[in-house]
Amino acid sequence: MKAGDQKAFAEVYDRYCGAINGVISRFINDEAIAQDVLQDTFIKVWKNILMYDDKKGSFFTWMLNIARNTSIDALRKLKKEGKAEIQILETTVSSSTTVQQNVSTIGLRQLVDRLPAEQQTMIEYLYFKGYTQQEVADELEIPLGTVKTRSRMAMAELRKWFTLLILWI
Amino acid sequence: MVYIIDIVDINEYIASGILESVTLGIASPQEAQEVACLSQIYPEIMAEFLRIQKRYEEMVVESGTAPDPAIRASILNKIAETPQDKAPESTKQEAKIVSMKPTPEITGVSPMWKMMAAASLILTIGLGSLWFISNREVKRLDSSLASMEKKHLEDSQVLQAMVMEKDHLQTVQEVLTEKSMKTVMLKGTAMEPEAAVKVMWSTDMKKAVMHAEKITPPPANMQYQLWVIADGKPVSVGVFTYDEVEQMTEPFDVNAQNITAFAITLEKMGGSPTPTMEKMVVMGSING
Repeated sequence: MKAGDQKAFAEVYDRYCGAINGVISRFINDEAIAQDVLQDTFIKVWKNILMYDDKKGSFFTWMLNIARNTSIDALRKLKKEGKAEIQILETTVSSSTTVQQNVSTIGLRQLVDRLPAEQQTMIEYLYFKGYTQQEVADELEIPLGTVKTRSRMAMAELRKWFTLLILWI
Repeated sequence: MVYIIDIVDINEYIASGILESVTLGIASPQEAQEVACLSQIYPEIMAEFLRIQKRYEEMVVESGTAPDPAIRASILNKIAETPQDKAPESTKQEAKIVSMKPTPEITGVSPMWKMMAAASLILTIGLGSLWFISNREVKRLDSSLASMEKKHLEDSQVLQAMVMEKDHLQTVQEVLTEKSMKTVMLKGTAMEPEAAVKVMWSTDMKKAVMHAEKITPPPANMQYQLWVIADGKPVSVGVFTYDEVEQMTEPFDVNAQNITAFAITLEKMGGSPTPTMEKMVVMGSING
Protein backbone atom coordinates (compact mmCIF):
# COMPACT_ATOMS: atom_id res chain seq x y z
CA MET A 1 0.00 0.00 0.00
CA LYS A 2 2.97 2.28 0.62
CA ALA A 3 3.69 1.86 -3.08
CA GLY A 4 0.33 3.38 -3.90
CA ASP A 5 -1.40 0.08 -4.58
CA GLN A 6 -5.15 0.66 -4.59
CA LYS A 7 -5.88 -3.04 -4.45
CA ALA A 8 -3.89 -3.29 -1.23
CA PHE A 9 -5.88 -0.35 0.10
CA ALA A 10 -9.14 -2.14 -0.64
CA GLU A 11 -7.87 -5.11 1.37
CA VAL A 12 -6.97 -2.85 4.26
CA TYR A 13 -10.43 -1.31 4.07
CA ASP A 14 -12.20 -4.66 4.09
CA ARG A 15 -10.17 -5.86 7.02
CA TYR A 16 -10.38 -2.83 9.28
CA CYS A 17 -13.51 -0.87 8.33
CA GLY A 18 -15.66 -2.52 11.00
CA ALA A 19 -13.29 -1.75 13.84
CA ILE A 20 -12.66 1.78 12.64
CA ASN A 21 -16.36 2.38 12.17
CA GLY A 22 -16.86 1.15 15.73
CA VAL A 23 -14.36 3.67 17.09
CA ILE A 24 -15.98 6.52 15.16
CA SER A 25 -19.46 5.56 16.37
CA ARG A 26 -18.26 5.94 19.95
CA PHE A 27 -17.65 9.60 19.27
CA ILE A 28 -20.40 10.47 16.81
CA ASN A 29 -23.99 9.33 17.07
CA ASP A 30 -25.21 10.86 13.82
CA GLU A 31 -25.01 8.20 11.13
CA ALA A 32 -24.51 10.53 8.15
CA ILE A 33 -21.71 12.43 9.87
CA ALA A 34 -20.14 9.18 11.05
CA GLN A 35 -20.05 8.01 7.41
CA ASP A 36 -18.29 11.21 6.36
CA VAL A 37 -15.78 10.73 9.15
CA LEU A 38 -15.19 7.12 8.09
CA GLN A 39 -14.52 8.29 4.55
CA ASP A 40 -12.22 11.11 5.71
CA THR A 41 -10.36 8.67 7.94
CA PHE A 42 -9.59 6.26 5.12
CA ILE A 43 -8.63 9.08 2.75
CA LYS A 44 -6.19 10.35 5.40
CA VAL A 45 -4.80 6.85 5.81
CA TRP A 46 -4.27 6.65 2.05
CA LYS A 47 -2.75 10.14 1.74
CA ASN A 48 -0.48 9.86 4.75
CA ILE A 49 0.58 6.25 4.45
CA LEU A 50 4.21 7.23 3.86
CA MET A 51 4.21 9.16 7.13
CA TYR A 52 3.42 5.96 8.97
CA ASP A 53 6.48 4.97 10.98
CA ASP A 54 6.44 1.41 12.28
CA LYS A 55 8.76 2.40 15.11
CA LYS A 56 6.03 4.53 16.61
CA GLY A 57 3.50 1.72 16.79
CA SER A 58 1.46 -0.76 14.80
CA PHE A 59 -0.31 0.18 11.59
CA PHE A 60 -3.71 -0.63 13.03
CA THR A 61 -3.18 1.55 16.11
CA TRP A 62 -1.96 4.32 13.82
CA MET A 63 -5.22 4.09 11.85
CA LEU A 64 -7.27 3.99 15.05
CA ASN A 65 -5.65 7.20 16.18
CA ILE A 66 -6.41 8.83 12.83
CA ALA A 67 -10.04 7.73 13.24
CA ARG A 68 -10.18 9.22 16.72
CA ASN A 69 -8.57 12.49 15.66
CA THR A 70 -10.84 12.81 12.63
CA SER A 71 -13.89 12.16 14.82
CA ILE A 72 -12.80 14.79 17.32
CA ASP A 73 -12.11 17.32 14.57
CA ALA A 74 -15.60 16.71 13.18
CA LEU A 75 -17.11 17.14 16.65
CA ARG A 76 -15.29 20.41 17.17
CA LYS A 77 -16.44 21.69 13.80
CA LEU A 78 -20.04 20.79 14.65
CA LYS A 79 -19.75 22.52 17.98
CA LYS A 80 -18.46 25.66 16.26
CA GLU A 81 -21.43 25.56 13.91
CA GLY A 82 -23.68 25.43 16.94
CA LYS A 83 -25.07 21.98 16.35
CA ALA A 84 -25.06 21.23 20.00
CA GLU A 85 -27.46 18.30 19.73
CA ILE A 86 -24.67 16.12 18.44
CA GLN A 87 -22.50 15.41 21.37
CA ILE A 88 -20.02 12.94 22.59
CA LEU A 89 -21.83 9.72 23.28
CA GLU A 90 -22.20 8.81 26.89
CA THR A 91 -22.08 5.05 26.80
CA THR A 92 -22.02 4.56 30.53
CA VAL A 93 -22.80 1.04 31.55
CA SER A 94 -24.60 0.23 34.76
CA SER A 95 -22.65 -1.93 37.15
CA SER A 96 -25.17 -4.80 37.01
CA THR A 97 -24.72 -5.32 33.28
CA THR A 98 -20.95 -5.10 33.63
CA VAL A 99 -20.94 -8.09 35.93
CA GLN A 100 -22.82 -10.26 33.49
CA GLN A 101 -20.71 -9.14 30.56
CA ASN A 102 -18.18 -11.42 29.01
CA VAL A 103 -14.84 -10.08 30.18
CA SER A 104 -13.45 -10.01 26.67
CA THR A 105 -16.09 -7.54 25.53
CA ILE A 106 -15.25 -4.97 28.17
CA GLY A 107 -14.33 -1.90 26.20
CA LEU A 108 -12.20 1.07 27.05
CA ARG A 109 -15.18 3.05 28.32
CA GLN A 110 -16.06 0.37 30.83
CA LEU A 111 -12.45 0.12 31.94
CA VAL A 112 -12.36 3.87 32.44
CA ASP A 113 -15.51 3.66 34.58
CA ARG A 114 -13.49 1.76 37.17
CA LEU A 115 -11.02 4.60 37.70
CA PRO A 116 -11.21 7.25 40.41
CA ALA A 117 -13.26 10.29 39.32
CA GLU A 118 -10.32 12.65 38.79
CA GLN A 119 -8.55 10.10 36.60
CA GLN A 120 -11.76 9.46 34.65
CA THR A 121 -11.92 13.18 33.94
CA MET A 122 -8.42 13.10 32.47
CA ILE A 123 -9.30 10.25 30.10
CA GLU A 124 -12.59 11.91 29.26
CA TYR A 125 -10.83 15.09 28.15
CA LEU A 126 -7.68 13.59 26.64
CA TYR A 127 -9.15 10.58 24.88
CA PHE A 128 -12.86 11.12 24.34
CA LYS A 129 -12.77 14.90 23.84
CA GLY A 130 -9.33 14.97 22.24
CA TYR A 131 -7.93 17.86 24.30
CA THR A 132 -4.18 18.31 24.49
CA GLN A 133 -2.62 18.17 27.96
CA GLN A 134 -2.23 21.97 27.92
CA GLU A 135 -5.89 22.47 26.94
CA VAL A 136 -7.01 20.27 29.83
CA ALA A 137 -4.84 22.27 32.22
CA ASP A 138 -6.40 25.53 30.97
CA GLU A 139 -9.97 24.20 30.97
CA LEU A 140 -9.84 22.73 34.47
CA GLU A 141 -7.52 25.43 35.79
CA ILE A 142 -5.01 22.97 37.17
CA PRO A 143 -1.23 22.90 36.58
CA LEU A 144 0.05 21.09 33.49
CA GLY A 145 2.13 18.87 35.79
CA THR A 146 -1.04 17.70 37.53
CA VAL A 147 -2.61 16.78 34.19
CA LYS A 148 0.48 14.74 33.33
CA THR A 149 0.57 13.03 36.72
CA ARG A 150 -3.14 12.18 36.76
CA SER A 151 -3.21 10.87 33.22
CA ARG A 152 -0.15 8.73 33.89
CA MET A 153 -1.78 7.38 37.05
CA ALA A 154 -4.94 6.64 35.09
CA MET A 155 -2.89 4.80 32.49
CA ALA A 156 -0.94 2.86 35.09
CA GLU A 157 -4.31 1.86 36.59
CA LEU A 158 -5.78 0.94 33.20
CA ARG A 159 -2.63 -1.03 32.63
CA LYS A 160 -3.56 -3.37 35.46
CA TRP A 161 -6.87 -4.01 33.72
CA PHE A 162 -5.25 -4.54 30.36
CA THR A 163 -2.98 -7.07 32.00
CA LEU A 164 -5.85 -8.80 33.77
CA LEU A 165 -7.84 -9.01 30.56
CA ILE A 166 -4.93 -10.61 28.78
CA LEU A 167 -4.64 -13.16 31.57
CA TRP A 168 -8.34 -13.99 31.48
CA ILE A 169 -8.70 -14.42 27.78
CA MET B 1 29.14 1.82 23.25
CA VAL B 2 28.20 -0.39 26.20
CA TYR B 3 24.96 0.56 27.77
CA ILE B 4 23.59 -1.35 30.75
CA ILE B 5 20.56 -0.63 32.82
CA ASP B 6 18.99 -2.71 35.49
CA ILE B 7 15.76 -4.53 34.80
CA VAL B 8 13.87 -2.68 37.54
CA ASP B 9 14.11 0.54 35.58
CA ILE B 10 12.63 -1.05 32.48
CA ASN B 11 9.82 -2.54 34.52
CA GLU B 12 9.18 0.79 36.17
CA TYR B 13 9.07 2.47 32.80
CA ILE B 14 6.61 -0.11 31.52
CA ALA B 15 4.46 0.20 34.65
CA SER B 16 4.35 3.98 34.41
CA GLY B 17 1.47 3.85 31.90
CA ILE B 18 3.34 5.79 29.22
CA LEU B 19 3.01 2.95 26.70
CA GLU B 20 -0.78 2.96 27.09
CA SER B 21 -0.84 6.77 26.80
CA VAL B 22 1.01 6.63 23.51
CA THR B 23 -1.15 3.75 22.25
CA LEU B 24 -4.35 5.66 22.94
CA GLY B 25 -2.86 8.75 21.32
CA ILE B 26 -3.20 10.91 24.41
CA ALA B 27 0.50 11.36 25.11
CA SER B 28 2.43 14.46 24.07
CA PRO B 29 4.54 14.23 20.86
CA GLN B 30 7.68 14.20 23.06
CA GLU B 31 6.39 11.17 24.96
CA ALA B 32 5.59 9.37 21.70
CA GLN B 33 9.11 10.10 20.44
CA GLU B 34 10.62 8.89 23.71
CA VAL B 35 8.75 5.60 23.51
CA ALA B 36 9.78 5.16 19.87
CA CYS B 37 13.44 5.66 20.86
CA LEU B 38 13.43 3.47 23.94
CA SER B 39 11.54 0.64 22.27
CA GLN B 40 14.27 0.57 19.62
CA ILE B 41 16.88 0.16 22.35
CA TYR B 42 15.08 -2.19 24.74
CA PRO B 43 13.34 -5.27 23.33
CA GLU B 44 11.33 -5.62 26.57
CA ILE B 45 9.79 -2.20 26.07
CA MET B 46 9.12 -2.95 22.41
CA ALA B 47 7.46 -6.27 23.27
CA GLU B 48 5.22 -4.68 25.87
CA PHE B 49 4.39 -1.75 23.59
CA LEU B 50 3.29 -4.16 20.85
CA ARG B 51 1.33 -6.28 23.32
CA ILE B 52 -0.62 -3.27 24.56
CA GLN B 53 -1.41 -2.15 21.04
CA LYS B 54 -2.54 -5.63 20.15
CA ARG B 55 -4.86 -5.71 23.16
CA TYR B 56 -6.24 -2.27 22.32
CA GLU B 57 -6.82 -3.39 18.73
CA GLU B 58 -8.57 -6.56 19.89
CA MET B 59 -10.81 -4.49 22.12
CA VAL B 60 -11.72 -2.23 19.22
CA VAL B 61 -12.33 -5.15 16.84
CA GLU B 62 -14.65 -6.80 19.35
CA SER B 63 -16.80 -3.69 19.56
CA GLY B 64 -16.64 -2.96 15.83
CA THR B 65 -19.69 -2.54 13.60
CA ALA B 66 -19.71 -2.92 9.83
CA PRO B 67 -20.34 0.35 7.97
CA ASP B 68 -22.91 0.81 5.25
CA PRO B 69 -21.61 -1.29 2.30
CA ALA B 70 -22.28 1.63 -0.06
CA ILE B 71 -19.44 3.66 1.47
CA ARG B 72 -16.83 1.20 0.23
CA ALA B 73 -17.21 2.13 -3.43
CA SER B 74 -17.31 5.82 -2.62
CA ILE B 75 -14.07 5.65 -0.64
CA LEU B 76 -12.28 3.56 -3.25
CA ASN B 77 -13.31 6.08 -5.92
CA LYS B 78 -12.06 8.96 -3.81
CA ILE B 79 -8.64 7.46 -3.18
CA ALA B 80 -8.22 6.67 -6.86
CA GLU B 81 -8.11 10.41 -7.50
CA THR B 82 -6.22 11.34 -4.31
CA PRO B 83 -2.41 11.50 -4.58
CA GLN B 84 -0.40 10.15 -1.68
CA ASP B 85 1.75 12.58 0.32
CA LYS B 86 5.51 12.25 0.18
CA ALA B 87 7.26 10.82 3.21
CA PRO B 88 8.63 13.46 5.57
CA GLU B 89 12.42 13.94 5.69
CA SER B 90 12.70 12.59 9.21
CA THR B 91 11.22 9.25 8.23
CA LYS B 92 13.79 8.79 5.49
CA GLN B 93 16.53 9.67 7.93
CA GLU B 94 15.32 7.13 10.46
CA ALA B 95 15.06 4.52 7.76
CA LYS B 96 18.81 4.92 7.27
CA ILE B 97 19.48 4.41 10.98
CA VAL B 98 17.96 0.97 10.88
CA SER B 99 20.60 -0.14 8.43
CA MET B 100 23.50 1.28 10.41
CA LYS B 101 25.24 -2.06 10.45
CA PRO B 102 28.18 -1.96 8.04
CA THR B 103 26.32 -3.55 5.14
CA PRO B 104 27.33 -3.04 1.53
CA GLU B 105 24.17 -1.00 1.14
CA ILE B 106 25.59 1.78 3.24
CA THR B 107 28.94 2.11 1.46
CA GLY B 108 27.46 4.18 -1.27
CA VAL B 109 25.95 6.64 1.19
CA SER B 110 27.56 10.05 1.42
CA PRO B 111 29.61 10.91 4.53
CA MET B 112 27.04 13.56 5.38
CA TRP B 113 24.34 10.89 5.70
CA LYS B 114 26.62 8.76 7.81
CA MET B 115 27.30 11.65 10.13
CA MET B 116 23.63 12.47 10.43
CA ALA B 117 22.74 8.85 11.05
CA ALA B 118 25.46 8.59 13.69
CA ALA B 119 24.25 11.82 15.27
CA SER B 120 20.70 10.48 15.39
CA LEU B 121 21.85 7.27 16.99
CA ILE B 122 23.83 9.17 19.61
CA LEU B 123 20.83 11.38 20.24
CA THR B 124 18.61 8.35 20.62
CA ILE B 125 20.93 6.69 23.09
CA GLY B 126 21.45 10.02 24.81
CA LEU B 127 17.72 10.42 25.33
CA GLY B 128 17.52 6.96 26.82
CA SER B 129 20.46 7.58 29.15
CA LEU B 130 19.01 10.90 30.17
CA TRP B 131 15.77 9.25 31.13
CA PHE B 132 17.47 6.64 33.28
CA ILE B 133 19.88 9.13 34.84
CA SER B 134 17.06 11.52 35.68
CA ASN B 135 15.00 8.63 36.98
CA ARG B 136 17.84 7.66 39.32
CA GLU B 137 18.28 11.24 40.48
CA VAL B 138 14.56 11.47 41.21
CA LYS B 139 14.80 8.29 43.26
CA ARG B 140 17.78 9.64 45.20
CA LEU B 141 15.98 12.91 45.95
CA ASP B 142 12.85 10.98 46.89
CA SER B 143 14.70 8.93 49.45
CA SER B 144 16.47 11.92 51.02
CA LEU B 145 13.18 13.78 51.09
CA ALA B 146 11.55 10.78 52.72
CA SER B 147 14.23 10.64 55.44
CA MET B 148 13.86 14.37 56.08
CA GLU B 149 10.12 13.97 56.30
CA LYS B 150 10.55 11.10 58.72
CA LYS B 151 12.85 13.20 60.94
CA HIS B 152 10.41 16.08 60.77
CA LEU B 153 7.56 13.79 61.73
CA GLU B 154 9.50 12.47 64.71
CA ASP B 155 10.32 16.00 65.85
CA SER B 156 6.73 17.10 65.54
CA GLN B 157 5.58 13.99 67.41
CA VAL B 158 7.93 14.84 70.29
CA LEU B 159 6.67 18.40 70.28
CA GLN B 160 3.08 17.23 70.21
CA ALA B 161 3.73 14.90 73.14
CA MET B 162 5.27 17.77 75.10
CA VAL B 163 2.31 20.03 74.40
CA MET B 164 -0.10 17.28 75.48
CA GLU B 165 1.87 16.71 78.67
CA LYS B 166 1.78 20.41 79.46
CA ASP B 167 -2.01 20.57 78.91
CA HIS B 168 -2.46 17.52 81.07
CA LEU B 169 -0.42 18.96 83.95
CA GLN B 170 -2.29 22.25 83.67
CA THR B 171 -5.72 20.68 84.03
CA VAL B 172 -4.51 18.44 86.84
CA GLN B 173 -3.10 21.49 88.60
CA GLU B 174 -6.41 23.33 88.30
CA VAL B 175 -8.10 20.58 90.30
CA LEU B 176 -5.26 20.23 92.79
CA THR B 177 -5.02 23.94 93.63
CA GLU B 178 -8.74 24.40 94.05
CA LYS B 179 -9.48 25.28 97.68
CA SER B 180 -12.26 22.73 98.27
CA MET B 181 -9.81 20.00 97.31
CA LYS B 182 -9.88 16.82 99.39
CA THR B 183 -7.44 13.98 99.35
CA VAL B 184 -8.84 10.50 99.84
CA MET B 185 -6.43 7.62 100.32
CA LEU B 186 -7.74 4.32 98.99
CA LYS B 187 -6.07 1.42 100.75
CA GLY B 188 -5.51 -2.11 99.53
CA THR B 189 -8.08 -4.81 100.31
CA ALA B 190 -7.34 -8.42 101.17
CA MET B 191 -6.91 -9.01 97.43
CA GLU B 192 -3.91 -6.67 97.25
CA PRO B 193 -3.01 -5.36 100.74
CA GLU B 194 -0.03 -3.32 99.54
CA ALA B 195 -2.00 -1.30 96.99
CA ALA B 196 -2.57 2.43 97.57
CA VAL B 197 -4.30 4.98 95.35
CA LYS B 198 -4.66 8.68 96.06
CA VAL B 199 -7.82 10.44 94.83
CA MET B 200 -7.74 14.23 94.85
CA TRP B 201 -11.25 15.53 94.64
CA SER B 202 -12.57 19.07 94.37
CA THR B 203 -16.13 19.12 95.69
CA ASP B 204 -16.82 22.58 94.24
CA MET B 205 -15.60 21.71 90.72
CA LYS B 206 -17.08 18.18 90.97
CA LYS B 207 -13.87 16.89 89.48
CA ALA B 208 -11.14 14.60 90.68
CA VAL B 209 -7.81 13.13 89.59
CA MET B 210 -6.11 10.05 90.96
CA HIS B 211 -2.85 8.24 90.84
CA ALA B 212 -1.60 5.00 92.31
CA GLU B 213 1.24 4.98 94.75
CA LYS B 214 1.30 1.24 94.35
CA ILE B 215 -0.90 -1.05 92.32
CA THR B 216 -0.45 -4.27 90.33
CA PRO B 217 -1.29 -4.07 86.60
CA PRO B 218 -4.68 -5.66 85.83
CA PRO B 219 -4.76 -9.06 84.08
CA ALA B 220 -5.27 -9.06 80.31
CA ASN B 221 -8.79 -8.09 79.18
CA MET B 222 -9.49 -6.33 82.49
CA GLN B 223 -9.56 -2.70 83.50
CA TYR B 224 -9.86 -0.68 86.68
CA GLN B 225 -13.27 0.75 87.39
CA LEU B 226 -13.66 3.57 89.91
CA TRP B 227 -16.81 3.72 91.99
CA VAL B 228 -18.21 6.17 94.52
CA ILE B 229 -20.60 5.13 97.25
CA ALA B 230 -23.33 7.79 97.06
CA ASP B 231 -26.44 7.56 99.21
CA GLY B 232 -25.22 4.11 100.14
CA LYS B 233 -25.14 2.79 96.58
CA PRO B 234 -22.18 2.23 94.25
CA VAL B 235 -22.10 4.59 91.26
CA SER B 236 -19.58 4.13 88.47
CA VAL B 237 -17.23 7.05 87.80
CA GLY B 238 -15.37 5.49 84.90
CA VAL B 239 -12.85 2.93 83.72
CA PHE B 240 -9.11 3.53 83.66
CA THR B 241 -6.07 1.83 82.21
CA TYR B 242 -3.04 0.86 84.28
CA ASP B 243 -0.97 3.63 82.69
CA GLU B 244 -3.50 6.30 83.58
CA VAL B 245 -3.79 5.20 87.20
CA GLU B 246 -0.09 4.51 87.59
CA GLN B 247 0.86 8.01 86.45
CA MET B 248 -1.92 10.59 86.84
CA THR B 249 -5.38 10.45 85.32
CA GLU B 250 -6.99 13.29 83.44
CA PRO B 251 -9.47 15.15 85.65
CA PHE B 252 -12.75 13.25 85.63
CA ASP B 253 -16.27 14.27 86.66
CA VAL B 254 -17.64 13.24 90.03
CA ASN B 255 -21.27 14.28 89.94
CA ALA B 256 -22.91 12.04 92.53
CA GLN B 257 -24.28 13.55 95.77
CA ASN B 258 -23.60 12.49 99.36
CA ILE B 259 -20.45 10.56 98.57
CA THR B 260 -19.12 8.57 101.46
CA ALA B 261 -16.42 6.40 99.83
CA PHE B 262 -14.35 5.63 96.74
CA ALA B 263 -13.42 2.14 95.58
CA ILE B 264 -11.68 0.52 92.61
CA THR B 265 -12.64 -2.92 91.28
CA LEU B 266 -11.21 -5.02 88.48
CA GLU B 267 -13.79 -5.36 85.71
CA LYS B 268 -13.90 -6.59 82.14
CA MET B 269 -12.85 -4.13 79.41
CA GLY B 270 -15.30 -1.26 79.20
CA GLY B 271 -16.56 -1.71 82.75
CA SER B 272 -19.58 -3.30 84.43
CA PRO B 273 -22.94 -1.84 85.53
CA THR B 274 -22.40 -3.03 89.09
CA PRO B 275 -19.13 -3.59 90.93
CA THR B 276 -17.77 -7.13 91.36
CA MET B 277 -17.20 -6.98 95.09
CA GLU B 278 -14.75 -9.90 95.28
CA LYS B 279 -12.52 -8.06 92.76
CA MET B 280 -12.21 -4.87 94.79
CA VAL B 281 -8.58 -3.73 94.82
CA VAL B 282 -8.64 -0.59 96.96
CA MET B 283 -11.16 1.47 98.88
CA GLY B 284 -11.24 4.54 101.08
CA SER B 285 -14.01 6.37 102.90
CA ILE B 286 -14.27 10.16 103.04
CA ASN B 287 -14.49 10.48 106.79
CA GLY B 288 -12.47 7.47 107.69
